[in-house]
Amino acid sequence: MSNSKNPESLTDRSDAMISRRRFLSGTATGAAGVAVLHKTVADITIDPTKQQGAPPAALGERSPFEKPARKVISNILSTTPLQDLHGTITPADLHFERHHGGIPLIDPDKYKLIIHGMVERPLKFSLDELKRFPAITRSCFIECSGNTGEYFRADRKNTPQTLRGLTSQSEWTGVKLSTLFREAGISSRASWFLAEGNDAAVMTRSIPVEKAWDDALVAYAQNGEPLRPAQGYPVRLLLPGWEGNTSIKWLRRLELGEQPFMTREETSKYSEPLPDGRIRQFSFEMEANSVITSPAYPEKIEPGWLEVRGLAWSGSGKIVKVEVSTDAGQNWSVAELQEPVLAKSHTRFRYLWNWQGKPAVIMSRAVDQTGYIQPTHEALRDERGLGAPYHLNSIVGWEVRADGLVYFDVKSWA
Amino acid sequence: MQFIGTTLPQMIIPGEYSGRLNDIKYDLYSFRPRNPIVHSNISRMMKLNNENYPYLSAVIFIILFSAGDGLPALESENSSCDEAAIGTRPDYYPDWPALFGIGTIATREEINAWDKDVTADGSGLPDGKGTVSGGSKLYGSLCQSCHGENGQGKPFDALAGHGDAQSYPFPDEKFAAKTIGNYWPYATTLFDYINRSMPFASPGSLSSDEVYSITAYLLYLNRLIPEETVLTAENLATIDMPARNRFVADGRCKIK
Repeated sequence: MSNSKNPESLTDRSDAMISRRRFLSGTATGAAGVAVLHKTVADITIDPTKQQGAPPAALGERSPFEKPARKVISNILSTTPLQDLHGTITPADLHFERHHGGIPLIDPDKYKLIIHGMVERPLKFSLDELKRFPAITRSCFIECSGNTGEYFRADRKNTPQTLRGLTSQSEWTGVKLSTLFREAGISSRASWFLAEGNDAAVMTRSIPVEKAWDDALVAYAQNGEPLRPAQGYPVRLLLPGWEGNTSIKWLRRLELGEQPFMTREETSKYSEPLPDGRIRQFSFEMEANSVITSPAYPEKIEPGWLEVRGLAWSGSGKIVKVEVSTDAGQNWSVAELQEPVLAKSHTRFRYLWNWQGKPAVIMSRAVDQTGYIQPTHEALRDERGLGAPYHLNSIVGWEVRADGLVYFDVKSWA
Repeated sequence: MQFIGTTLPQMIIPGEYSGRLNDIKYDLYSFRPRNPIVHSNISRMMKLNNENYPYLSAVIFIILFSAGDGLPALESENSSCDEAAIGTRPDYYPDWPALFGIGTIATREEINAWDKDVTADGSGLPDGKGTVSGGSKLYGSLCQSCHGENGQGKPFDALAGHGDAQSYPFPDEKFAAKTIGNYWPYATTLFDYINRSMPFASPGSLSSDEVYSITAYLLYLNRLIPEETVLTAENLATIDMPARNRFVADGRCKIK
């Protein structure tokens, strides 16, 4: 694609692509960091075939020209720059962050996990002991249930990052929770467990034991290395496909019981008041979702062929189909899915489009293996009302103007 | 001029799905085409037997269980889905020993040091007591800077006020305040949360009496207890929370 940047985005100082522009024009404040690679901005004028390059280093760094960045929304939240990424894996330092009491610093040598309650043997495990159990590795996304929720603002300058940046994908390694439950000998009557974090919030959620028999993981590695502190170092619970807050980070305690524990997070917070007067609780699964990551604000496109690209995912299993509309949802065409398509994982989709230079609204909708179809904003609002800033997975539209400027289609979410 | 240039993987989508967006006959409730494939139901995990008439069931529960006299199971939002487990307990592990023998027994002291949770029936509440007047003083010095005068909120969560406890503005009013009175289903959760996570600047620093007192004051602000109430482990779980019976377990058909 030969897309250039929307000039209006110059006012958005957090936009990584603009950082690049400023860098190239020599005004980037980050230029000092380039010295680590023994190159300066001035060096780029020198023919690289006429001088020796940088030596190896203990830790690699990104090209000084690439500055993808999370957008820090508040003290408890940052979002992944989906528009700057390719494929499906989120680099660990760009994984979104949402925590309830800050990021604790935990000494791995003092770490322990306790399993107790309705078990034959209350057990504690050190980090090394957890690593001795049979391990598994899998990819999956983690998505905050507040994605596109209360932080959403109806602004045409929304980017994929501001709309859907509370989902990230990693390859996780750990021990299956069922393995640990087996070791502790949990009671056949135990139907729920409390998972507790070792942070200032002492974050807790009640989880059905059946999730352990399905695919719950006690994870200690992310993308091949120990977890990042913001993702729960040294150990986190990982519940594939379920709303992110249930994957308790800095995991320290699992208590087996017969009832949900009714913590603050699962009563007053992560629940959805419905129009009929009831309040939906324990809505764990994240529904099928998708977003076009290019073209999107702040891009500017040129007439001709281009590839519409995006991500789709579902907490219920595999994505089986993504469709793209270039006429505001009147007609839909099937996009190509990048194999392998994995359950509960980001799935890359692509769709070739010959843009004729006329105004258009492009959008994507995902279908998962259960037959669930990503709804319109209107349909979702009819079902939920306005009261729940969670599980808002409605179709995102991008308005392409005749001059090639691309904006978030605010009116589709009016 | 559309380029429809991709191969379509074999779909397992029911036939009524295709074409224009507005033509899709999906279920508005679940956003799935009707006649989906396999169901499981979160209500299974809630151990529910009462079907189809959640409001009637709620009435029956109220009759059968006076407050604090055992905790009724949570209603399911919808019991019409076929039941299939999210996961079933594996009972066969080829090549695995009966036990790996990894890990050590957690001592009672180690467990007690962390096991502070309070459940909805009041289990786990420590000894101690608290008063509204005591809680009022503590609130002023420890809580008000975040939660506002009289729990009105700002800069952080509102805890009281904003309409009476029976009001239900949420579907129609974006960001309507979810207060203890109009939203929190269990008074025990207040104790549990304040005890483990508050005050924000020094979490876990309060004595049991202090937590009882702040809990009492917040319940009083929400007109859920009289001013002279002395809150203890015996009466906290018995307090009637107006929103309690609104809560239902997710009943959308979960499909594997």
